[in-house]
Amino acid sequence: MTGPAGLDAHVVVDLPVRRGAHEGDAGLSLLAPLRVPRGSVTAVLGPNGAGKSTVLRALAGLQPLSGGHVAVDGRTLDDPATGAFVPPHERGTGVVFADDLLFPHLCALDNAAFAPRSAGLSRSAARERAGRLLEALGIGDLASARPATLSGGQSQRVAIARALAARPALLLLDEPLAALDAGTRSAVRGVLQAAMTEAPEGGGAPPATVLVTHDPLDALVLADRLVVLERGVVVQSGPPAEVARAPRTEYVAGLVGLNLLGGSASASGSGRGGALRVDVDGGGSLVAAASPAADVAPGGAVLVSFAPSSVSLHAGPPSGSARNVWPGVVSGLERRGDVVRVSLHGAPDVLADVTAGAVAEMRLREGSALWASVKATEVRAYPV
Amino acid sequence: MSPATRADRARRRRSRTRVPAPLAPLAVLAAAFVVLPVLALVVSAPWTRLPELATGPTVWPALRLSLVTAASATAVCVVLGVPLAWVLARASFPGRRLLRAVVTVPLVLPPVVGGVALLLLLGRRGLLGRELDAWFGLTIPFTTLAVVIAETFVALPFLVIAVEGALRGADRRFEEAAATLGASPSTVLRRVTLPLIAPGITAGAVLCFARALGEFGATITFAGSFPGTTTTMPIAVYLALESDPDAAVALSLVLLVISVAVLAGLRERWVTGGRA
Repeated sequence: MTGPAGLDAHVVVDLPVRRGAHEGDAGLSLLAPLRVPRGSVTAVLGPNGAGKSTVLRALAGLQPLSGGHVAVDGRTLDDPATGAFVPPHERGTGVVFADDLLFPHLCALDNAAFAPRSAGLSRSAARERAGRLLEALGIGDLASARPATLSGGQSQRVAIARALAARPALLLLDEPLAALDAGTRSAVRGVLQAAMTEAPEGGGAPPATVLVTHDPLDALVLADRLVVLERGVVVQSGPPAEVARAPRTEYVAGLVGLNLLGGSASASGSGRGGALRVDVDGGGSLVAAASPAADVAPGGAVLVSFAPSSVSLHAGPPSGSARNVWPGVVSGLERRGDVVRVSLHGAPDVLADVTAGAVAEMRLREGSALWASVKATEVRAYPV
Repeated sequence: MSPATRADRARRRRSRTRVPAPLAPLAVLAAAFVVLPVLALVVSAPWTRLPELATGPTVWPALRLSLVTAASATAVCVVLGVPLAWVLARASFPGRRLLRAVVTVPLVLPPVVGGVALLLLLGRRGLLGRELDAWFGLTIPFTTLAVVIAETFVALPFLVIAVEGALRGADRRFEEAAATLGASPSTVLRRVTLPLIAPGITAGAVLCFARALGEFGATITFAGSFPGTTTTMPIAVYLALESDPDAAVALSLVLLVISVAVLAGLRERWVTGGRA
């Protein structure tokens, strides 16, 4: 075995415009570098149509690459440059599809036993392995049930068992927890976590896992690396904490629930204590002190992010210590759990989370004139 | 509300739908078209002589021959037709459309013409028959084998069309899922594709059997009528019409009962196949 253990891929897929696609829906040109060591999990996030599922199909061998390469444990699986292509059934993958695709003519146990049977295990040995996995996923009592009689959550767990039973070198998960309710979701997440990071019984290394999801929580909890795809292109990648702290696009900022503004470092220099003054694109300026801004040159393009919960709203000009204060007009109100998210139109536009009590007290409605304030220590600035 | 009760309600509402005026008499006429001849057969049956006629010396050999040859033809159709349907549905090669058109020709070809065509190929002086005779001393026409070949010729398109439709309707993502789980193409075929299209194969096989059981034109042309070896039920009915019309009616009744039984079996399969 040569090369690194795990997945090493550079996925390049040119998809033609599909017939019957929406008007203006251009063909997708996908470009995604992925390196996933054994035992680690990379989450691929992105809006619908970004190419997430296409990445999985390419890794599984269901969608040939147009360029780049896919290799697992140093073994080349697809490389258009050399013409190398390993068909799906010889790749040693396990895939959980978004719509589970359980074989309708087989019971849950035989579905889960499908991969070991295909690998040549005896029926009883394959069923034993499958049974243990169903047990671990909390559906041991459904072994003899046909897929048509299972609920969405139960089917998805059978699909997870079916993929894990393959003891894959490369585990590919497409929205594996989407159909589960909150209670089973955390239980199944635990089983998945163990399967993705611990050596399987009987030895061997844990798989390299690529997890496609649009649920930021799954990504943040399960993955040790995030890759964000938009329109087929990786717009941001890195450890979850880093991505969550410093989003680079509106989409990522929305995922992690932060205000994101673009701007440039003010030439007038930093203020007190290493804080950076940023002229925001579209008007206004903010002082950011939550991050060391040493590598930001004056005039350089920067991104500024802060949590909606760090924004305070006031009926009149506030007298507190906050260094960022500006007036605005309420352009929208939206209930989010036990807070109300206020969209404020001003220089700059921001989102603020306030309590329902504050909404009532200030008699907030669309068109209300307000003042917003954010402490400089809550605002992060980082180079684009 | 559960989907079942919603469907029930929808069905009840549909049952109250009024039939548009011009449709009703035409629909009645259509039903009469099918029902009346069958009724005539039943009414004019020589019921008193029926036990004697239905157990007559010509009936059992003809019936046995019909069942054996129709079953054999059906088996040949399944063994050869499923691969052909797969090729037509899945493979891409030049001339695929032409091949599909040619394969379905027996559907529209008058059976007698089919019999003539088989004679020209496999007859003693036929293109292939000549060689078979010369090399192996094998003559096919006017044997039980010729009956099976004639029946297969006319029945095969029914199976191919049914199975090809099932293959096209089957969700190929199941096959992809199986491949990602390590199943080789032949394993995918055996463990996923064939089970998924089993209802289509069954429906096609039953249609094949029914068509083969009723085969007359190609059979009498290519296999003739030799009692015990090539005289199938339809041929026996035809021959009996000239000598003993009562016997012809009795034979027809037997064939009718078997056809209805096949149809009932098919309906049963459709119902259970849909639920499985």
